[in-house]
Amino acid sequence: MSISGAGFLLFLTAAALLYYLVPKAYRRFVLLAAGIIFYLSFSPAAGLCLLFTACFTFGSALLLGRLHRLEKSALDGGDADRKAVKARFRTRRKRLLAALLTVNFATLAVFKYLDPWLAELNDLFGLSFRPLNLLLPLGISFYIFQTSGYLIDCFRGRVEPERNFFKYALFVSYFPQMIQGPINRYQSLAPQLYEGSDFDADKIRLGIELLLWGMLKKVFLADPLADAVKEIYANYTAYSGFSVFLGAALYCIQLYADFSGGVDVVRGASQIFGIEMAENFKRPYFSRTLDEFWRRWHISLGEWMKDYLFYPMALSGAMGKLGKAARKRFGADFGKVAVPALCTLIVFLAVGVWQGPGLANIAYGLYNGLLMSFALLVDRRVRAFKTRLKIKDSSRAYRLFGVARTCFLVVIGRYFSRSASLYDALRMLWRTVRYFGEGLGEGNPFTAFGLDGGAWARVLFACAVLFAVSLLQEKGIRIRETLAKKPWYVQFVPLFIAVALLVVFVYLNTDYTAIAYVYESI
Amino acid sequence: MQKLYDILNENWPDIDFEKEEKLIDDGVLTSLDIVMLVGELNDAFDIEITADELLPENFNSASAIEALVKRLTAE
Repeated sequence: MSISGAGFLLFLTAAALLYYLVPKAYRRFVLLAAGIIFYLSFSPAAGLCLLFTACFTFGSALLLGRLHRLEKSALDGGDADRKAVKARFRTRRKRLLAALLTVNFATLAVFKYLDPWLAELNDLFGLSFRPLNLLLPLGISFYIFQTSGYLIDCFRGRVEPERNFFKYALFVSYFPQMIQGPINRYQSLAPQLYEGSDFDADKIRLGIELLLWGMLKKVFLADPLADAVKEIYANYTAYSGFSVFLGAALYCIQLYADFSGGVDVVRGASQIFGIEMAENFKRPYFSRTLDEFWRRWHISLGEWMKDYLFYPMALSGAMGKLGKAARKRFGADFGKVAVPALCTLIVFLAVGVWQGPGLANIAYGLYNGLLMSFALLVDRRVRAFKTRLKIKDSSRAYRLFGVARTCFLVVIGRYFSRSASLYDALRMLWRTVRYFGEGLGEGNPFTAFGLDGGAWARVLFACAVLFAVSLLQEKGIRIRETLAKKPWYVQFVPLFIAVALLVVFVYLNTDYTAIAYVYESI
Repeated sequence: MQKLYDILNENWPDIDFEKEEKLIDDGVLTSLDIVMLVGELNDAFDIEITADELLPENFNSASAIEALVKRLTAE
């Protein structure tokens, strides 16, 4: 059931009708049933994997909660050495958490990484491991991260473990988040799911608008670029370096429209049920630095990495010692940034692995991590340099320069994240540099890969609309909320246009072929 | 607690710590800043700020950071 398809819209409508028809106390059961039906419509076998994760993490959280209660009893019992009691229980909880997370991530490793890595080993060392040919369960990367976050929050005592399995199963299987996240936090999502929402026509309309906007992004911007991008990445040796670079830039636009469009669809669908999900994008291509880009792109993954990997690692005893040693050996300035720089590198390696099992993905993580670590290490010198040249960060020219530089670095990164292998990514880069202008005089480089004049015009128009909307949002204008204050017939116009466009170009168009979301296969 | 303000002002001279109440919520301090700050605080006050303490309410303002340092010093 594709979330762009009419089937999904019918399913969503039926679920929403039923949700608001049953009494509030039972609404969560409607969502749970909808989640199970939705998931099984993709693959019944993969449902077993989801069920295992739900059962395992449910029981695991209860064990962590039990340790918290035992600690509290020991402390209440007047044990003299409170510090020792706390330290003892913290060690026990840490060991338990380590074991639980190992099992949880092992599920992901087996389904997502084992076969590709076995194939890689076979290639590299001439071995003959037989692949397991396991099916990649839908949304596994998202629900493993979401449940692992829940376990860590239980370990930290920030969340009380859920004792009702059916409630917890809803948190894991809430259907709008199953395709491509966002990675929700238990504290913000679960209470909304369990309590149920009152019927609110305004919220429902806002949800429908967001859903339609996401569909428009996918259908009129991401999908028309998909074939051209695929062609360039598959046959880059046939194109000039300029076209290869253009292909990577087009992929940046395609991926943003695809992923952010998909997340708009699922967040909009969720808002129809009155449930707010985590925001995942804040106009990332307006970022002035790569660091800012990553705070605006796939925000829920970035926040997960920050809270559950970056902070614990950077504040660990080992990193503390390393920081001190660096300060002693290289001076205070370097010592201060050495640990954050190293941890940034490791976090981005993890982001690369999260994207996929190939070496190109790891290189993608390394590329981003190295650039950001380097920026951190030279930050003081750059600031001094700018002061000497009287360059102000707030000046319009410098801001534009920052945005252009960030976009360029992001485009180069996409050579790695989209190409078939690391070898191909490096050859594409080489081609871009070495043969940048090759054959540019012979024919039109913009249409060489199958995107004709009409298609370019449509894509550019869609880009212009997206840019205009993003610019308004950057200026702090909340478009849907502003529209909601207008008379009903004014509110109706954009809704009508969106529905008409989708009906004519998608649902009544027999030539239209739905293209899967890029992050569906993650 | 002058030492705390010295650390803050020396490392982030552009931020007005007397006024800022949403250092984390508004993204004034990034995660990299937080890690650097925690390293400085741990050294200066001989405390151990763990990842569990990294909640926005503990770092949103200079007074919140001061309260955190005082609590951990007392423990």
